[in-house]
Amino acid sequence: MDEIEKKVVDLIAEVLVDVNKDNIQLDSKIVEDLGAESLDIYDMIALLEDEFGMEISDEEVEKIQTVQDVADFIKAQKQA
Amino acid sequence: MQITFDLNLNGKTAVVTGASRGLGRHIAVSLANYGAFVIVNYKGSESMAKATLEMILSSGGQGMIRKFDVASAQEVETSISEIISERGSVEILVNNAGLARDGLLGRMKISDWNDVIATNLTGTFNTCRYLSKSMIRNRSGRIVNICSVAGEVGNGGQVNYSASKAGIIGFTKALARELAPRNILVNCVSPGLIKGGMGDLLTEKQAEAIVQHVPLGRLGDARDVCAAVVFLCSEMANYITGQVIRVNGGLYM
Repeated sequence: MDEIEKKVVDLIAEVLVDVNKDNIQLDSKIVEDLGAESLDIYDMIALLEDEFGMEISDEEVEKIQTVQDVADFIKAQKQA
Repeated sequence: MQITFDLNLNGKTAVVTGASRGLGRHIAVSLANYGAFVIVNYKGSESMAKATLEMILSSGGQGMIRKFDVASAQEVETSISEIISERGSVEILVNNAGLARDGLLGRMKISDWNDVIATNLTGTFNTCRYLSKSMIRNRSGRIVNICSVAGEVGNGGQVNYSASKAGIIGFTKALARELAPRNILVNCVSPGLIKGGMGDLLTEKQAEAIVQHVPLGRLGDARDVCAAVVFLCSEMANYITGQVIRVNGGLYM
C-alpha cells in the first residue's frame, strides 16, 4: 500500500468504528463488505475532503465502490 | 438503587440563534448557567447581544457573541466554521431566531411571507446543515428547534409565521430520523403564550382574551421554556428524539 492508500484505510477505519481495521482491504466494497451506511459515507467524504483538501461531488461518490476506488480518485485529483 | 440525573453541560458548546433578546436571551443564559459555553447569536443589535453576554458572565457563565443572519446560508457557513475552529466542536444548537410579519392573507406583502419563511424555516435548515457535519463527526449532538403553538393550531393573520413554525416541526421529525444513527437528538419546544417571548406582542386586551383559553389561566414565563430546552439538552432526554415538547399551559394538547 502506498501513502495515500494507507491514509484512506485509516480514515475509513476512523469512520467505521465497528469494523476491525484488518478487514479493510483495498478491494473491500465500502457498502457491501464494510457495511457503511448513508451517514458513514457522508462522514467519510467530509473527512477525505478535509484531509486531501478537495471537493468530491455526488457524481464521483456514485462511482466509488471499493477502498481502492477512493485511493485512485484521490491520486487522480492530485495529478489534475 | 438511586435514580437521579445530572443537568450539567460543562465542556459543551451551545449555539443559540436570536439570543439578543426575548426567549433566546433567557435560553442562552440558562444553558450557560448549567455550564455550557454559549455562542450568543444575533442579527441586528450588538448592544442587546452584549447585554445577554453580560448576564451570562455576571452569573458565572461563559460565552461570546457572534453576529450572523440565519437566513443567509453564506453568513451561517462562515460563522459556523469559525466557531468550530475556535471551539473545536458544537454539541448543542438551539434554533430560536424568528420573526413575525403579521397581516391578513390578502394584504400580506410577498416580502413579509418570504422574510418569515427565510428566517424561521430556512434559517433552521441553514444552521442545522452547517452544524451537522461537526455533530456527525462527534457522533453526538442536541438540536432544539423553537417552534410555536401558532404552528400547531394556526393563528389568523399569521399564515407566514404559522407555516414556518409548522414547517419546523416537519423538518425536526425528518432530521431526527436522519441523524439518529449518529446519536444526534433533534426535538422541538413549542411555546404557548409566554411573557418575554412572542406573548409580548399581544396587547393587554388580546392577552386577556386568550388567557381564557389557557387551562392554567396564565401566560407562561420564559423560564418555563428554558426548563424544556435544558431538559432536552441534558442526559435526562437521552431517549427522546423527533418530539414536540409543548410548553403552553394546556392551551393546545
